[in-house]
Amino acid sequence: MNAFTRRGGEPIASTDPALRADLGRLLPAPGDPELPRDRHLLLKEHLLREIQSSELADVPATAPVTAAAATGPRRPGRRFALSAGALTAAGAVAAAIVVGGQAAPAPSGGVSATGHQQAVTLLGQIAAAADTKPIATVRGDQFVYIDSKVTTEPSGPLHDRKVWLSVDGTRAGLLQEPPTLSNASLGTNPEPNVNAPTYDYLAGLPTDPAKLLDLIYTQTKNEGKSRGQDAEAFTTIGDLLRESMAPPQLTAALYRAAALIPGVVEVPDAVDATGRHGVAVAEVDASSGIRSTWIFDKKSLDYLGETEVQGSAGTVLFESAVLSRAIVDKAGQTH
Amino acid sequence: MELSQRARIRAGDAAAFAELFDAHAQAVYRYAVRSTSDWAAAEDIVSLTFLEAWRLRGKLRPDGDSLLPWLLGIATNVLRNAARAARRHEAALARVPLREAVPDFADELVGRMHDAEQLAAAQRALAALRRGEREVFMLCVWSGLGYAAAAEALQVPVGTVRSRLSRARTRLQALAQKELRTTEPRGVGGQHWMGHVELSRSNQEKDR
Repeated sequence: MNAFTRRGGEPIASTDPALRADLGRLLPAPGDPELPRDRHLLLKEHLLREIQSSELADVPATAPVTAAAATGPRRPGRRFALSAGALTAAGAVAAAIVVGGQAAPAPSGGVSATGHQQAVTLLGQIAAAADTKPIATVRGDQFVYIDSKVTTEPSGPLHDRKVWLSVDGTRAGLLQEPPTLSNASLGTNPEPNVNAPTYDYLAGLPTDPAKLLDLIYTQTKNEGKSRGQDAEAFTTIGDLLRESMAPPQLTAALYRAAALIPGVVEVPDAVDATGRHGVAVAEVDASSGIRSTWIFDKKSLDYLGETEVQGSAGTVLFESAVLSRAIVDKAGQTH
Repeated sequence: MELSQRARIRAGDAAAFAELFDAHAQAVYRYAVRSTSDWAAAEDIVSLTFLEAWRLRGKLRPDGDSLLPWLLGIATNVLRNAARAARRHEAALARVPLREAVPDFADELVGRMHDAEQLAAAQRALAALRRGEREVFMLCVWSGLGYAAAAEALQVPVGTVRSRLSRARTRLQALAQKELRTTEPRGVGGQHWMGHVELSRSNQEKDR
C-alpha cells in the first residue's frame, strides 16, 4: 500500500479539506443520530455475553469435530427462524458418491444409501403425497406454528423448540427454545426470501421444480463459500421443509426440486431424533463427510425430521424431529 | 495505548472489546443510521459489526492507530450484505434485548423525524453515486475518516479513495447544477441544492 502514498512525486494529503468541505456543502446534513445511553449499555452487555459464551463454545473446537460444529449452534434461535448455509465447513458437492450408483458409506446406524435414481423415485412419491393434502385457508394475520425437538450441539441433548412465524411477515415471530431462549421475539419479516421465508412468500414461488431450483440457486449463490451450489440448495430446501409451511403444491415442488439436485440418494431406513423409523433421502458433502438426511414416515410419507451426521464415527451434529405444525391465530398459541 | 489495545483485541480480551464498544459504538451507529435511514436496523448493524469484529479479531493488523477504520470497514461489509451477517450471527441477534416502546422518547422521536427528512434528501442525492463512491463519501465526509483510514476501512488504495471522492464531487456538482436550473435558488448555504424540499421543511421547523 506504500506505493499509493506518493503519486507524481507529490505526497497525497491525508485529507483534503477543500474537497471535503465542497462535498459536505453539496448535500443536506445527514443529521446526528445518537444511540441512546440505555441502548448503548444493553448492546454492550449483549456483546460481552455473546463473547463470553462463544469463548466457552471455543473450547470443544479443539475436539475432532469440524469447524461447522465449533462455530456455534447452527440453527437454533435464528432471528428469521430459518436460514440455510450457515454450515461453514464444507466442500465439494456430493456428486462424487453417486458415480455408478455406488452405495455411499453407511453412517452410524448401519444405513445404506442406494443411489440417486431411487431417491428421485422416492421424492416423486413424497411429492405426490404432499400434493394431495388439503389446501388450508390461511390469513395473513395468522401464524405458522411448528413444534419440534432438536439438538443443537454435537451429540447434545434433545430439547424443545417451538416457533411461531407470521404468515405475511408483518407481525413479530416468536421462538421458545429453553433454556437459552425462553421467549425470544423473532421480529417481523419485511423482506422474506428462501432463507427467511413467510407462508405468503412461499405461496408466491413458482411450482415448476426447475424454476424453483433456479430461484434457490440464485438466492443462495454466495452462501457457504466453499460448498457447491447443490449442497447449498439441499440445505436450503431442508430448512424450508423443517421449519416453514407452504401450500401443498409448493411443498410438493420443493421435493421435486430436490430430486433435481445431483448427488441426492435414497436411504431405505433411517431414524429421527425421537426414534421414529422412516424412509429417507440424504446428501453427503464429500469433503467434510457430513451427511444430511431428511426422514419421512414410511406409510404417509409425511416429513418427520432431519439429521446431520459426520464421518465414519457418526458424530451427530444436528437433529430435528418435527412433532406438529399448525396455523394459529396468535404467536404463543399451540392450536 | 492503541497498540496494546490492538494486541488485546487480537488476543480476544473481553475487556478490550468493552472499551472498543464504548469508544466507537456511537460512530458505528451513526454510520449505520446514515446508510440505512433505519434506526432499529442500525442497532442490529452495530451488534453485527462488533460480533463480526470478535469473529475476525485474529485478522486485525497488529500495528496501526485508531481502530475506527477497521470497525467501519467491518460495518461496511455488514451493510453490503446485512442478510448474510444476520444469518451468521442469528442466534446472537435473537438474544439482543428488545427495545421497549416507551413514550419518554418523544423528544428523540421528533429529532429522528427531522433527521429522517434530512437524510432522505441526502440519500436521494447519494443514490446518484456508485456504491464505491457512496461508501467513500460516507466514510470521509460523514464519518470524518482521513483518506488513509478510509482506504484501510475499504481495503482499497489511498489513490482510489481520492479518485472516488473526486468523482463523487463531480457527480454531485452536476446534479446540483441541474437542480439549480430547474429551481429558483433561494436557499441558504449548503441547503439549497434540493431547494424546494428543503424550504418547505424548514418552514415547518420554524412553526414548531
